[in-house]
Amino acid sequence: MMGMLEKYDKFVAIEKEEETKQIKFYGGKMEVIKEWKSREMEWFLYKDGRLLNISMENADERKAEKMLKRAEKIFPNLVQSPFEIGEGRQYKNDKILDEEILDDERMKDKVEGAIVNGMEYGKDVSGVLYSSMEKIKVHNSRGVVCEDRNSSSYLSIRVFTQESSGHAVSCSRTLRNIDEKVGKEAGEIASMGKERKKIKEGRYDVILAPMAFANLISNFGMCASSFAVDAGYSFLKDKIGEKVGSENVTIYDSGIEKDGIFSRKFDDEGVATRRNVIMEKGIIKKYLHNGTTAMIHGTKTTGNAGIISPHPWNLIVEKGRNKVDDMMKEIDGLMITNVWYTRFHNYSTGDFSTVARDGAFLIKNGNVEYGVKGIRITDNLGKMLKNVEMLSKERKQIYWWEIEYPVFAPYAMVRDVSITTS
Amino acid sequence: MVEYALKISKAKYVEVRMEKIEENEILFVNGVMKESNIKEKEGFSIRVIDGSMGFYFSNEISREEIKKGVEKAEKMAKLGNKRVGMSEEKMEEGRYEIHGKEVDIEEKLDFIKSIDGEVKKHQRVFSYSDKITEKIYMNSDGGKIISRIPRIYLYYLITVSNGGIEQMNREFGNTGGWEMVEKWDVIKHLQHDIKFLSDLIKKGEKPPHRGDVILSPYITGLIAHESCGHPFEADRILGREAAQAGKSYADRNLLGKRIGNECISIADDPTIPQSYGFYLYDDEGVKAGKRILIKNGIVNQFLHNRETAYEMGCGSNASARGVYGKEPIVRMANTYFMPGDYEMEEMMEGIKEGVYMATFMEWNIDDRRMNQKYVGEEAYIIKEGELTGIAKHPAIEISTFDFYRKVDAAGKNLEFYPATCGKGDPMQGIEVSTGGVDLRLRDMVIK
Repeated sequence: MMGMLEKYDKFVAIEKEEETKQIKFYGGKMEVIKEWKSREMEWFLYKDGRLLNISMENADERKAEKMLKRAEKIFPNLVQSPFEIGEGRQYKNDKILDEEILDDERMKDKVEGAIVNGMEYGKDVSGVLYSSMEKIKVHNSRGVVCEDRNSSSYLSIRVFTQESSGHAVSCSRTLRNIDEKVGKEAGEIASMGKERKKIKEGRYDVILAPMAFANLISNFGMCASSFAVDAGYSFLKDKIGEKVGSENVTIYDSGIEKDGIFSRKFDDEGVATRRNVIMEKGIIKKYLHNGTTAMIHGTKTTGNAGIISPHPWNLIVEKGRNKVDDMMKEIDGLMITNVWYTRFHNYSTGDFSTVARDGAFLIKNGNVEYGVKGIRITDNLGKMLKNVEMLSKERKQIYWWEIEYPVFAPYAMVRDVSITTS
Repeated sequence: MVEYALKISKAKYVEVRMEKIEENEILFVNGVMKESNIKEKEGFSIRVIDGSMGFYFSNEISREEIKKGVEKAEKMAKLGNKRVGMSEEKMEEGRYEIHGKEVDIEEKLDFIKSIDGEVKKHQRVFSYSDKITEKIYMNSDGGKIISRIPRIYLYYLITVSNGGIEQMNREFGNTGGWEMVEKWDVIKHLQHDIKFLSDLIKKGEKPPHRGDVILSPYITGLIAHESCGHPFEADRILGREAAQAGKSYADRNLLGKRIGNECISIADDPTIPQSYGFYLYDDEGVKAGKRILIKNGIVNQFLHNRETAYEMGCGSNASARGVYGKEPIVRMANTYFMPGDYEMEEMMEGIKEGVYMATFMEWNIDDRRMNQKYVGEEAYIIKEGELTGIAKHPAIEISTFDFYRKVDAAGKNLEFYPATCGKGDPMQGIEVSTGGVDLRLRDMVIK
């Protein structure tokens, strides 16, 4: 079918086959098991300065010819726009691949193990286990033809007690590394600080556990996309070379991470993925680019296509040197284990709020004093990154329903965070 | 093919959904066309309930693949250990097709270029889409529904930098075709938003710390969706969404209880013509109708599919919706505060000090749907019953029950706004509309 595309000035063809399985459980029982099998084809065609994108499922020659006929009628009416395909073929592929990742029985064993661990703390245990195998092929008009296979899995589990809840995740490219002990981890959070009290609004020093910090960093990663910068969805516009975060904070994006669940050998243009430093010691070093945005910004692609919008692969926050216990001794404040519904009032300034979910605790003298409820962080993302004072040496890969891109996140101690309540 | 799946299945219950979607998308950023996309999707999903539940989706449409899908779904249904059942419902054979005006790409681009031309000086995003969804649905209880629904949608984000930076986004969407675009009056909204944002930067004042608050339908629609619609989804109440979209403040004991003032009534109605969340039969073959969730402050009913209705010992009210390739779960359609008796002027009368919030940018709510926050973008200060100035980002943070108790007046003006509701795992963004009337809340803390 690729022969059909040779007549275009430039083209990228992405073919993806995917098989995914999910076990969903709630109330301590497995309720549904699902399987998806899909084959998708996406073509980006560029002719006479005009770009058209065609998406088809389960494409064959007949379907492709029909779509191209439609495309030919549309092309002359399109508005001209810039388009470039990036270059870079230094492919690196140390990623883990698990051929057995879709094994029903092994998946079921993992879920049962996690449920048993969680039920030591409360009968109400819910979550999902996903496993996925992807085969992707990119073919472009620069002569690139590349293929990759990726496996990924994550277990997300939430344990409820009478008063509280705890949430934990385990993510890996192999099912073997999915840790059933996350049931225990979630249970321990749920059973800490049993008595939950309301607190006064104000400014607190806050320790964000990896799930909470990952949520903010995932949002930061999206702000680093050059598309977001150009479209008004980012507070990082005109910030290259500027200090946006604390000296303690260095953030990478990596498509080559050995066990990163979104790692891929190449991006959607067929350009080799790599490690890109977005923020180094608080200073913004670069935005994430594809071929087109790089051309517009007068720079080189970073291997992050998305052809319309560049995006992160796996975001990595450089570890600190601190033990979590020592971080707790440094504050009279709060520990927030998870957040959700992060919403920006103004993307361009980074003003946002997010709701604390699951265990949140008042910390005094290095100890949990009691659980707190009804709080949200109402602050500014840039300001919070500037106020990161300590990072833990413990770090975890976080991905779940609420987080768009996986984040390798440590605990972060952030000074002077605005907390509001209802 | 669909009948073949039913024929070969040995399970207690099986359903098959064959779907085809044709979609067009256009994206403009700062006057540059970033994307023009034509999409075709076609696939089938099989759901089996026999012990627990199994679900299989494939976009390879063949008898062999359907046979494989039935076998796999049947096997998966035996692997789970939670017993799942379906409520008894009257099954129907139905067919409905909505047809809208279709235009070629040239007209769509001319439209986007014309609205883009209005705001050339500002950073802006316009995202347009139209799609036609065709479905054939059959189940082993005798249900058979064939449908065709076109939908059309536009979103914009405008950033005004004029000594400060302010942003506004809006959505427009309907079931139907190009004939809806003229009704949206996009240019009028754009001109209004640009002027307002410039004024907000120049003249925005700190809102009072305490006072009465009037919320427009743009905001009350969202509140109806978030603090009534979602917590009244029976699958949340039963804990099925606990690890993702969360649980609910509601439980079975809340039925028949008062949670708000007399003037609070909230309904969800999938059958409103041209509404973004429109459908006539749900994705379990049950005929849809209007559902009153809160009636004069009293909890009246929850949203059910057949699975939750079975578990709670009641009937389905046709709330099962599945997006392409995903299982049907309990969803809203068009959720709205029902109209009251007040004109805006009457609501304003007697307000000594307060704010009127017309639009929002930021909002969020906790995972039991109790603790929520809304921040006004277009908002005004009220003094002695008059709008006297622009309020800069007034925010309310309030619990659901406090909200419903503090509303003392509901307006006559019912308006609907399109939205994409997120729920399910994997995420199943689905078309809904949020509707409402002006609501007045007394003695509020304003931040």
